[in-house]
Amino acid sequence: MKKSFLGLRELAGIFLDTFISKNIVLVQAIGLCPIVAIGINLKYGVALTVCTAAVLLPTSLCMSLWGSRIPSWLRPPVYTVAASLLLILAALVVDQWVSHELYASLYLFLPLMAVNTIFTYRAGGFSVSNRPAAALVDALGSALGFGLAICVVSGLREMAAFGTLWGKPLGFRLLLPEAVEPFAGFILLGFMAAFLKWVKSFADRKTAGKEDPV
Amino acid sequence: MPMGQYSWIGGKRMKLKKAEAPHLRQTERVAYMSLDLLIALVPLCIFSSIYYGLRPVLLVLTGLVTAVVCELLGSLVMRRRPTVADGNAAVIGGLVGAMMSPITPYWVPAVAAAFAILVVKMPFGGTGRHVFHPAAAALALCAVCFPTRVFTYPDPGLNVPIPLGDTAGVITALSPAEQLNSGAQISYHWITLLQGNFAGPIGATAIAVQLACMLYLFARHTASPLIVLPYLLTCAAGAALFPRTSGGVGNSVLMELCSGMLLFSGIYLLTDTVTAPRYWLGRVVYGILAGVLVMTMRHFGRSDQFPCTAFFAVLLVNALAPVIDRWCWRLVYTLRRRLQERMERRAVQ
Amino acid sequence: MPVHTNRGIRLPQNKEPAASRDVARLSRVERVTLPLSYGTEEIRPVCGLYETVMRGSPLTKPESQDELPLASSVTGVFSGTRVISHPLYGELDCAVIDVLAVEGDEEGKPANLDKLGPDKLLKIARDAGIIDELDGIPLHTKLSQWREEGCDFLVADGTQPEPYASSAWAVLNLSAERVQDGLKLAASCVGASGYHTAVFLSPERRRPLAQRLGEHRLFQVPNRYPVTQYARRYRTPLGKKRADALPMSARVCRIGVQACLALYRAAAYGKPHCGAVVTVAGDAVATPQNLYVPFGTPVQNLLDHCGLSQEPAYLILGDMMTGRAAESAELPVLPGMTCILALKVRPVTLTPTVCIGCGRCAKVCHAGLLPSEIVRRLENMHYERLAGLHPEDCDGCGACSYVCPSGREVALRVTEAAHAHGTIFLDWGEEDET
Repeated sequence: MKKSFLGLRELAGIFLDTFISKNIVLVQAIGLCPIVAIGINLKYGVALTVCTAAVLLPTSLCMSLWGSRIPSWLRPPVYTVAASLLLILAALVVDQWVSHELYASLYLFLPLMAVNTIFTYRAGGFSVSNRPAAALVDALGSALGFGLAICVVSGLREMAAFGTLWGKPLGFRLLLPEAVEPFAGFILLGFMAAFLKWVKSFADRKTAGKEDPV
Repeated sequence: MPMGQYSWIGGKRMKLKKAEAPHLRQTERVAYMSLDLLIALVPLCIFSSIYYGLRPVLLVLTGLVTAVVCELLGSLVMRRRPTVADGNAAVIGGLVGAMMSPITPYWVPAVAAAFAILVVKMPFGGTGRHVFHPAAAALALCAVCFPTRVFTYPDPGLNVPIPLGDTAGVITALSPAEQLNSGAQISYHWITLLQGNFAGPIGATAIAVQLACMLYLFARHTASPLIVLPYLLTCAAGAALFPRTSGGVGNSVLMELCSGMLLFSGIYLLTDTVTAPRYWLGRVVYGILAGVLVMTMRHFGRSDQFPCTAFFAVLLVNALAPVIDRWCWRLVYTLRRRLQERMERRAVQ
Repeated sequence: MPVHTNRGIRLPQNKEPAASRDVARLSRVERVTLPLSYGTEEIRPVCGLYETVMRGSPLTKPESQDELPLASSVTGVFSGTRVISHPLYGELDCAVIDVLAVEGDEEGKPANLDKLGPDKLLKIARDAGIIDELDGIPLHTKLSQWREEGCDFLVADGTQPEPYASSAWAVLNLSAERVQDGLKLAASCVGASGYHTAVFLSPERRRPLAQRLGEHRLFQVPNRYPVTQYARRYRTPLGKKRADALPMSARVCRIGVQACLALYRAAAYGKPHCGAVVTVAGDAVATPQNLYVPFGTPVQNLLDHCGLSQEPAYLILGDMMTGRAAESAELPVLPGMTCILALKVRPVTLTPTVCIGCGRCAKVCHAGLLPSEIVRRLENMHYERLAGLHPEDCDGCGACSYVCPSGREVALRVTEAAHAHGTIFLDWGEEDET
């Protein structure tokens, strides 16, 4: 159902929905693989976030504009191909202009982003049935939500494992080299999801108390 | 809310209370089951302290106390009534301690027990709700994070108590599990194995004591033989079919069953009621699956890095337990239904 | 129809001293309260206010042939109606009768029982208003159903495996031969090829009974609660074939011993089914004993007769495992009750804790269910997934609650699930609309 007009408030609602209250990673458990596997360094985290945003925004826009004209069985291959093309571009940019080392360490996970469930879910699902503005806002929220999770996880893991943040030493003594192992990523994500749920329940109780003073 | 109304009986006015059937309950309690497990840990500690002095006991106590304290903390944070009284936390801590090496530093069981309670048990909802066995998960953490501290065992043949403090100078020995993994041809006399006179974890060496504890737990209905026996039989079958050491089938079976934490995991970790299936067939399948996983990991696992793999197998089957339970129940239920239908048809004819 | 397995528990037995005492008659009954109907429909009594009703005369006129005419259990004056809330039957419209006489049993010459055909027997059972004490279902309903569906073997159930009840034993001790004659009549009515009386007794009690009834007419059930094996069966390929054993496919039906006795007395003497033998026991009762009481007698008359040694906190209609706690002692004794307990304390009470999944409930469930899983889904509100676990097979024996080391009300929850699955969602939907 396409709505004829979307107000700013509705757009903000969509954004907050995908960014926090239905966070794509922490609530819907989508796109865990790169976080757990490669989110060990804040630099990687930011790079992956930027790449995700760079790919997800155009794909969602295109799918929103023309997605409904493509038969539903053809959509997955179409947006996967589109996402791969964009990713090749992004990878080239990272490799040539940003840092070759970064590209080298991310090299497996950048191409894998093309088949990441985030794209399947957001570009293939939400965008097709919504207006371009909503789709763009939703893609931004998804990318930033993903970015929030991966940046927090990778920052914490970098601090714990190497005692650095963004490559700068913090001067810790106590180091936990095991934080780079995937299980640490899973545990961190689990606790973050629990924390988010706790905050939400807190907020829910407050709003419920306001609406219904018993 | 009124608890009941007044009634006149024999000229006297009295109040009657509400209650739900059945009005008779057996006296067995959850706490007694935990107590059974703790009792079954005591002989293991005693035997270990005969070889290594007081240090193993202190390690087990460290794990136990940490676990109880963490449970209290967790209950406080979650604003629940403390569930220490059911003894589950104490058992988890004790099991974590009993799986350490006698020369492990004291902070390792403390960290492991804290991990078990604060990460594996409490976030899932506390006693009765955790999906994975916390002690097995804690050991998995130790195996990944500090393998050398957990899997380096002192030589029991020296009969010298290990110093309570620094253990730098203690002479270590290779455990049978490591020797098997390295492809060495080993053979221990069965009496040595029963006595536990070989290098290994605190609780997992004295085979005779473990078997006695197993029988105690069976007799008390705390551990289910339907899990342990299929597990051990599967492991024995695996060892007999694919031996890793020379000396015949008997030697292979004996060495595989007695090395590492295979027996200990079977008796103490697999039978944990929260993570195991409830239905009898589910339990049998669960035991067999655990045995297959342990033997597969021993043959194909990264044995250079992880000499003990039994707790990984426990964690893996834990994840499958609810599914196994439901499927097995449905299978038996459907079969029994079919049988009865056939009977009724025959009766009609 | 649930599939029963030979599981269950062993219960402690507290039948003494009630079982060794003689069956007493209630000395003083002033007023009885009798239900006019066990259904929900409103039924008018046939007699007028302050009219004298005779013992055995019907109080209501049933509309269909299947329904039972509910008869007066005493001779007395009909003095109005009232509604009571009974823990076993729910809300009941009742007639109150002031007792003039509880007649004794002067019995004449027995009628000839040989020529009674099945239809005649069904009519006798219906006219006498016999209600089976096992389940509170009218005997003629049960018999006519079995006659249609077929019944291979009929059992007079005198087991009472629960701790206190000994009324079936008391009835058998008094008149085992008559019970057997009644059972024989019922067996001929349903066309069963054999019959026997199932008991759960100590050897010294069983032996004289076996001599009276014949060895092959008395069957001792295994020491298991709940009883599932009412007759010896053989499994064709495995077990040794015994002369008295039934094949696995045989359909075994059972009726209570008091219903058997009532059938005999109705057939031989034309007596209506007016009362029952009830065990009164419990730690608050001074002299636990079996009492013969007319239906409708208030429970407090029974307690007064037996005396109270201390103030009871619980009054339980039924036995320890399946009895319901009543909050008033004015409730009448109705067909289906064979035991009344007055307890100062419940033997073991404890605060329920979380399920630790020990699996003991699944081990003892004779219906082969997974009670812990049913309770988990009920508590997690996965109502739509309850049906797959077949909670409707539960007959509420309470063995799962008995063994639960966490002290949870497993049986209660499973019963809830049996009534709830599929309907809770609908209820919610209706609530939302209003």
